[in-house]
Amino acid sequence: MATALATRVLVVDDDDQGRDDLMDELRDYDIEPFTVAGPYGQEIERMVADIEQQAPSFVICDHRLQPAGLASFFGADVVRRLVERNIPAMLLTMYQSTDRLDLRASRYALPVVMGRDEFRIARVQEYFDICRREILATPVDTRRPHRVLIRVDDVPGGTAAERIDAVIPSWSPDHAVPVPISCIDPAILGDVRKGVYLLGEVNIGAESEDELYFKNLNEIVPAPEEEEA
Amino acid sequence: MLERLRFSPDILSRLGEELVPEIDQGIVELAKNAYDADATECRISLNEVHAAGGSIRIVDNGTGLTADNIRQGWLVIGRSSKQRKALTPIYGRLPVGDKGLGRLAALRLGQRVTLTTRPRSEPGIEHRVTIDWDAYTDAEVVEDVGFEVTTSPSGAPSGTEIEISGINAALGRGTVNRLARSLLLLSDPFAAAEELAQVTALPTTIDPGFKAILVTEEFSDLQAKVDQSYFGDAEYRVHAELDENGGGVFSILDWKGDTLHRARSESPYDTGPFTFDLWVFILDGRNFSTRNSTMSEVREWLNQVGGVHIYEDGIRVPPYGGPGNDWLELNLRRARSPEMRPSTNTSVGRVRLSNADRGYTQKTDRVGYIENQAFLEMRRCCGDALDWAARVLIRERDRVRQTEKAAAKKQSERVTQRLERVLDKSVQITDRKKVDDAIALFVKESERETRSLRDELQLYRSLATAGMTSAVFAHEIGRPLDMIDKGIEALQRLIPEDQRENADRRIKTISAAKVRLNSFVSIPLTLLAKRKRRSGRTNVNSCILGLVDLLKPITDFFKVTVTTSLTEHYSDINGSEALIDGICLNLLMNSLNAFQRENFAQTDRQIRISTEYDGSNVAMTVADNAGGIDGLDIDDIWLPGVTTSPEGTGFGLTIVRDSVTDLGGSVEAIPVTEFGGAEFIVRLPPMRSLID
Repeated sequence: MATALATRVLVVDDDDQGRDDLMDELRDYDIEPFTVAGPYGQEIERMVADIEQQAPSFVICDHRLQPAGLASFFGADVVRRLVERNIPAMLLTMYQSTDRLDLRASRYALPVVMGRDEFRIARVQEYFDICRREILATPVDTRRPHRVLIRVDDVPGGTAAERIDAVIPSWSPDHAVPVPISCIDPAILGDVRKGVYLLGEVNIGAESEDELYFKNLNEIVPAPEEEEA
Repeated sequence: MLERLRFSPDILSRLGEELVPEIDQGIVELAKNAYDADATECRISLNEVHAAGGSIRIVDNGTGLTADNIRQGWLVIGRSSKQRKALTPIYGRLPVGDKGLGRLAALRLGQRVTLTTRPRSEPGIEHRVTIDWDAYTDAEVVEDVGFEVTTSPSGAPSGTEIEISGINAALGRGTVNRLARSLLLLSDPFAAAEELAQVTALPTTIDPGFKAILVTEEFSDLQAKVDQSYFGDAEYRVHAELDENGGGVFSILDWKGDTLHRARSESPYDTGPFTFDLWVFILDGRNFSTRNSTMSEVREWLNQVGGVHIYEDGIRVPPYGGPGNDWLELNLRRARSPEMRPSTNTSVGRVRLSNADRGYTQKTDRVGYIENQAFLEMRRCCGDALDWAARVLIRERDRVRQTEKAAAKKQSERVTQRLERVLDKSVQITDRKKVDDAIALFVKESERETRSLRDELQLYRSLATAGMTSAVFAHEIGRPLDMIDKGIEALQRLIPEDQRENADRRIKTISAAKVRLNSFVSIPLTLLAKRKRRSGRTNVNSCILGLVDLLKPITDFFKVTVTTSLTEHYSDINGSEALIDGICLNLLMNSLNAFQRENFAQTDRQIRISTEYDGSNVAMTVADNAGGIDGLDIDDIWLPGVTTSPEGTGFGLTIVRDSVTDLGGSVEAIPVTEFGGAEFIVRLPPMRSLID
């Protein structure tokens, strides 16, 4: 695969100062930055079209676009749509944000999600490459899905649960990870209880819990012990 | 011929008014001379002292001075008191007057001073001497000026009268007030409290006591206040007593004088015997609702007499216990650990010590003791007594809490048993199951309510913790913020000329970010400022303006325009700034959050705050154009924990409602107005007493 470089990077951020600062930093790395003006209100398609029209090689998008009123939708939805249109894009979240957990439901569609504290302009090409490879369907190891067993450890809140706590033995056998209910196929949801095993796609190459995504959790299987018995 | 040191007349002002600049202290020294002369009363009258040229008379009924006493004593300035003085002949008092420098300062207040004295030892005779200070103006040396002591017959009883006439400068009201206070507190006015407290007094003598009286209105006002003793309103009294061997006994007494707690000090103190008392008051409405005296009376009284005074052999040693003097660091101790600690505003105290063995040394200017071993040890002992008392009281309070909890549990068990018995007797066995079920349901429901209250409490606690933590760190963050400024300046110097323009733009960004950070940090600090929690007359308009100003960087960041339209009429209410701030801030945050809702867009974000006075209420209206209240029942918005924002606590409007209730007002919400969003109208009762 030919190497490609992000030379034209589009920045989406509602905070003018933050955006200008990021653009200045990009210039330091000889990357041409540009942006979209807005405000977009609820018109996400218009923003995506505006971005697409400028033909960026890479897009860095802030997750929260509401505070200063750039748009009333979230950056995650923008990035998802851009990646679907084969435009490499990454998402920036706030420092120590709870957003990253909330983002798990759409994490599989977001190749790179970075907290502002870890984000480094010097690594932009790396982030870009992860996105690009995902679009080319040759994801990097940490993003590659594997169909694995997922043990339901707890369903806090019972029928009104918003998440389950799950252990992915092939990723980390003693670590329960909260998984949003929305990641589970509604068809099997009724049978999801503490102790059952699910089958689904997880990027078990992920280095941290934040990077984990869950997709196609659509099968309940007998517990491994029972199978042996 | 022998030569002598001689003194220029200038030395008189050096030693007098320059060394003892506080006029009142000089006059107090004259009163102390009266005490030393075994007087029982000393009257000080001020005649037309509000302008220059007036006069001051100090009259006592003491033993008076013989002509020899005048020559060898009264006219000798600066004789050291270090040598041990004999006790006074009649009442056996330990003399308290000192080198006479304060006296000199007082005598020099006018152009002329006349001493008239009738010694008890020479009945029917009166001596008189007049010092004309003008005579020194032309003199070479002090000794050149001479006076004559004249003697004449007199039928009046013994005593001394000093008249200082032709006062050089007017005595302001402040000075007179200070003088009145000093004279009033000169001899322990708290002695009456002893009777109330039924404490064994120090060995009594036949001394009928001494009283210094200032003949002015200021004094009678003050005296009336002081005479009205409020010791019975004290919550408790801390008492410490040090014996001859330096062993201390600390105790806490209740208002009746009964000992509640008592302990020996852990280690001895290297100072003479003394007693220390501190009456501590809890100035809150609940405590005073059942008493005869009002809180403001007690506060005013504490204001006049508050502080911890030191009485050396019955006579007060300034400045201890004076305004602003916190020699026991009550306020500091309280700041370090606020629980169960008195402050100078909520306590009055007294240390009574004897200086018979000259362990304590007063400073030359007669303002306080030199901080020698004796003094420092006395202070340490008082401090230890206070620390001990605070520890005991905290333990006590905790014990009460635990006992209450246990008692509540027992009580509930008893009530349940009683209910069982009643049911057994009065409910038919066939209906019993139904009744039991109904009761079980009721209990379950009340438990649920309790649980939800506990949850609410927990949330309040965590919010309080978050608030306190952010306030604490807000202080700490000042330094790194400052470092950013300094770092920027240092970097600017390193930037080469050709890069300057580019760099400046970047630096501006950093500076702007820093300003924003600054304002975020200053918000909790400003909101938590102590004065804000003080209740009283509060102007709603100025609270709003202050808050809008404080939040400007934040509303700017959120691109929200805040406009205010405040009434020019009445807008004072009776409450604390903190409550108004809380109401206003929560409504503003509510609006700011509303603008950020997903699936709602408003390009021209606006918040309008207005106030109005309709004759019966001060109304504050906060309205926005953020789409209005949606997805929630309008009655539910006030409930704790109800929120449409995933990161919200759902407590903002609960706090608004509770604060408004505390202020005796009402709050109304309109889900959506023509302006395009929600509107909240807070109506508060005005501070009526101040209208018209």
